[in-house]
Amino acid sequence: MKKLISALSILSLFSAFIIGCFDLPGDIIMPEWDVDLNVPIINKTYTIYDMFKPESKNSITSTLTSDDFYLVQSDNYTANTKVADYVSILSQGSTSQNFIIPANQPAQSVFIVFPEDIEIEQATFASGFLSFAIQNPSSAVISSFLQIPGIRKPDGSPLIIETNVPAFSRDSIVYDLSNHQYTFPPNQPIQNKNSLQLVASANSTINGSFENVNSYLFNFSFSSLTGSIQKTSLGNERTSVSLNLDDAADFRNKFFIKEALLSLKSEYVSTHHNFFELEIANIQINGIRNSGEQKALTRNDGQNITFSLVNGGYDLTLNETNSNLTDFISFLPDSIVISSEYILNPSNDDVVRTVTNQDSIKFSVQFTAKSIFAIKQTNFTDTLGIDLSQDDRDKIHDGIGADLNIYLENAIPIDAFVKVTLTDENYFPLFTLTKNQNGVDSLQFLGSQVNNSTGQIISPTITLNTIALDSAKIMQLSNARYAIISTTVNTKNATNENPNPPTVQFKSSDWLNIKCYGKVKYHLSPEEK
Amino acid sequence: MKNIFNCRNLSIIILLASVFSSRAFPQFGSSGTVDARSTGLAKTYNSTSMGIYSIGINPANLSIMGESSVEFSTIIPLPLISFHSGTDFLSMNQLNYYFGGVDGKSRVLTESDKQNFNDLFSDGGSVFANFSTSLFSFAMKPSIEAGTFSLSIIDFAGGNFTIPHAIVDLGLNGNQPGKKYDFNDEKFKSWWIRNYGISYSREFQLESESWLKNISAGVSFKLVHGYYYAGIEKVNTNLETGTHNEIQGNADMIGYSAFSDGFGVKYDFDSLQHQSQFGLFMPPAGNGFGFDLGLSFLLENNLNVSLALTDIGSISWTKNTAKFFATGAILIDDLTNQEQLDSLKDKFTGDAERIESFSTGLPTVFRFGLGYKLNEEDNFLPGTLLLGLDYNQGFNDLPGNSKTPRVSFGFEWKPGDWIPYFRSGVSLGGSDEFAWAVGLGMYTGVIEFNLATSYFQTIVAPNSAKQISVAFGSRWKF
Repeated sequence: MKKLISALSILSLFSAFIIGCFDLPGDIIMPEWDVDLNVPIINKTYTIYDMFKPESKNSITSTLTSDDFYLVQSDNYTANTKVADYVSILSQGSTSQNFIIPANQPAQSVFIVFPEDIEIEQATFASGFLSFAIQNPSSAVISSFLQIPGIRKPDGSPLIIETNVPAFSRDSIVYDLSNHQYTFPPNQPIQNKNSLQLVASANSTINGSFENVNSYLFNFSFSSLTGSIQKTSLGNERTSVSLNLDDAADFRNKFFIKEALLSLKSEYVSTHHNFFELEIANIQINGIRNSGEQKALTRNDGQNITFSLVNGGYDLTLNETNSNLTDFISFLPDSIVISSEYILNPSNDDVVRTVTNQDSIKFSVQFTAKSIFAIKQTNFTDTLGIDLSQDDRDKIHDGIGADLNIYLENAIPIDAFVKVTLTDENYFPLFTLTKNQNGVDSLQFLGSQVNNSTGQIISPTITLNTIALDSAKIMQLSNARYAIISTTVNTKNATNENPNPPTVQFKSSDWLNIKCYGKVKYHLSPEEK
Repeated sequence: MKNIFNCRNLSIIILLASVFSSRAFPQFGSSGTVDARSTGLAKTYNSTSMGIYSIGINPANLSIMGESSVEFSTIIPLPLISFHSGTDFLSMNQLNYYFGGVDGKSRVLTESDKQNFNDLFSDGGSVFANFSTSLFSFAMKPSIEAGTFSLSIIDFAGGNFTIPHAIVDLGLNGNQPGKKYDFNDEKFKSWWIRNYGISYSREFQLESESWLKNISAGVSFKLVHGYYYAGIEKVNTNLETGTHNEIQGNADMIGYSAFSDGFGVKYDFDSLQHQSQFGLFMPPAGNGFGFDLGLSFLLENNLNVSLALTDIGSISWTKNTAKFFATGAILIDDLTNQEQLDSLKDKFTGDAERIESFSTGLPTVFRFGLGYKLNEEDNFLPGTLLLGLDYNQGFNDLPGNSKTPRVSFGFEWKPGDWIPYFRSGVSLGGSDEFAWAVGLGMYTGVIEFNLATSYFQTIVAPNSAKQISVAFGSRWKF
């Protein structure tokens, strides 16, 4: 037993000795230290197609393929003009004819010339009036019988006008020809094709008596007409198209375009094929800015722009070689006004043709400016709100320093200079994000290398901008509420000092890759671990 | 990995496994905890252990008992407990410096502090804990001719975790462009197993004129019950920060786990959860068989040569088994890309799935030892002196085992009656690295008491030590 007690005592003392030797910390307190975190932030590649795809930039372009890019492709602006308007014009004139109808004599033919000397083979009146003023100088009543063999009433019956004029009296008759048919009478002499034939006779109790007749044709318009019309000016038409430039107006006087096309198309639209020739003469195309400034689109050869719609159509394409089109589009007007004179049968031939009031002239205009252009230095400024939670701002506040690298591999020939100024809630500037410490220079992103003669891209350009933020700036960053972003862009080598900046070519497959990465020096304290 | 375990249950598992699991005798691996006597000899036990202390080390040495003698151990009067824990990188001084604070506030690490802390992990960041006991061990030697029989119930719980150096480097210095961070050195294995063993040993005495006086041979058969296992089978994950800070790498990790129903563990992917019924005799999660083989040669001049091959076998885990894995390439070059962020999260959290079973080995070891006993008349010191030299080669890195060879030297000196056994030794290699062991032993007639530490540096220089070890226990001898 004594041995047992001794052994246990020794063991107890030995155990206590071991445990008592340690100097254990009272509390485990995690240390603090600074750590550098190298983080990727963004790695994105954009093509021009991505940036300007149709659904996002309808006003810029409507068609894109992999290799083509149209900076401006206007909608197809069209204007339809009813020929009936022109046919109505014919009725502006009127004709008259005086003749005598002897009583108790065989019927005689009288020919009343159509207005404008039109020669009608067949027509349907939309409107028109036939008027007679009859005077009876005799002492007996005279009964008149006026037959118009070329005209049939809407019900198909011949048009015959009968009247009785008392002795020494006058009568006046106005007959509405609406919806009446006209067909050149087969027995009418061909030389009287430009006239309306009237077959008149009279009866009286006194032989040798007669009537004086004054006839008028006026307010003629036709829903259809087959015949021949002399060269006729149908008057001037004026059309205005608004371009809705929006932000593109910022590029005025900075934007120089190449390979623009103006496609002008006109078409005679009809259900029949025997239509008249038409000339749209002296087309004047003027770009007008809201400020009132104007620029006319003119041909380089000095000739007027005239469309002759032979065989129903006429197309004209203007480009930089045959016109001042590039200057015109670079002018970036707010609207374009097109005025012209319409001439029917400009060759003034006698060919019989048909015109109806359903015929129209479709006139369309489309601008396409292919993406070969130059932009002089142009500046945009925008203000963005910095929407961060207070928790995020507190985390930023714990930062000690940061280096932000912006790596841009640019296969788009545009240089960009960006300056970001952070402000407090009162827009008071806190500091400007710049590539160096003096706070003046902007971030530069250089465009791809281009062939100066062709404007084609040779190789992408890599630009690396590093923004260094010390702890003071990081503290300011945590308090920033707005970012004022000033961006200046220009195409390659298109500086303000260069009056004729080289143009560059864009394709929708052109791309840029932006990698944003940085090193953040962070102080890790126990609550972060 | 995903939070697949119920945290409360997992905490209980780790705590209770640490408290109740123990082992008393030299066994389980080349570097695992052993009984207090062998602990004092710096685990130099191949030729010096005897009786029930040789179970699991060299069953041939079971025969080193007197004829008609009996040995056994229970929790009375002193339970056999052995505990060893620590790191291979952080001393108490360093723990106080980095995690003790300064005047109650966090220490702000300088660049030099960071560098020094990082350097601590350059040769490994291993944390381990082994805690073991014997519920019951019994050995009986009726006669030399009949041989020696033994029965034993031995529990062992242990685990090791190696913190990848890359994690520490990343945490301290952040990710440096161009530097590749490999997580291949991450290791984790932990288990609680119990052996129900039966052993037999027979000695063969030879002619007295021969230089070989005695040959002993022994064998042990074990039924192995596993109560939990959690381990990472493979890690081949790496990360690298590119010139534009893009982070790329590869995730490749596989791990397994199994738990007894008694733990009440619930996996996230599974709707099934057993009620927690934690205890010493829960249904096992895995079953296996193993055996030990041993030979011992007693030469003239009291020189003993022993060799053994222990823990040959495997465990098949079948209860609440799951596989955890993460594979695939990692790429982060755009923090605004949610797809990349989701992918990164998936790679680090991995996936888990139920599997039918998986198997693990046992901590197989080849052991070789020399022992030399100096009697009082041959000794230059008073009393008796036992010297031992060991070589242990593990064949895997399961808890308690190491593929790094371990060599140790130990002695046991008994100056005389009423003076305790004084034991000491040094060990090199294995998972312990360098260890200086010291122990005491008292024999009171029928009960033997032993106390030791395998890491005496903890006592002589406690604040620069990285490990702590204590072992004590008693043995009844009749």
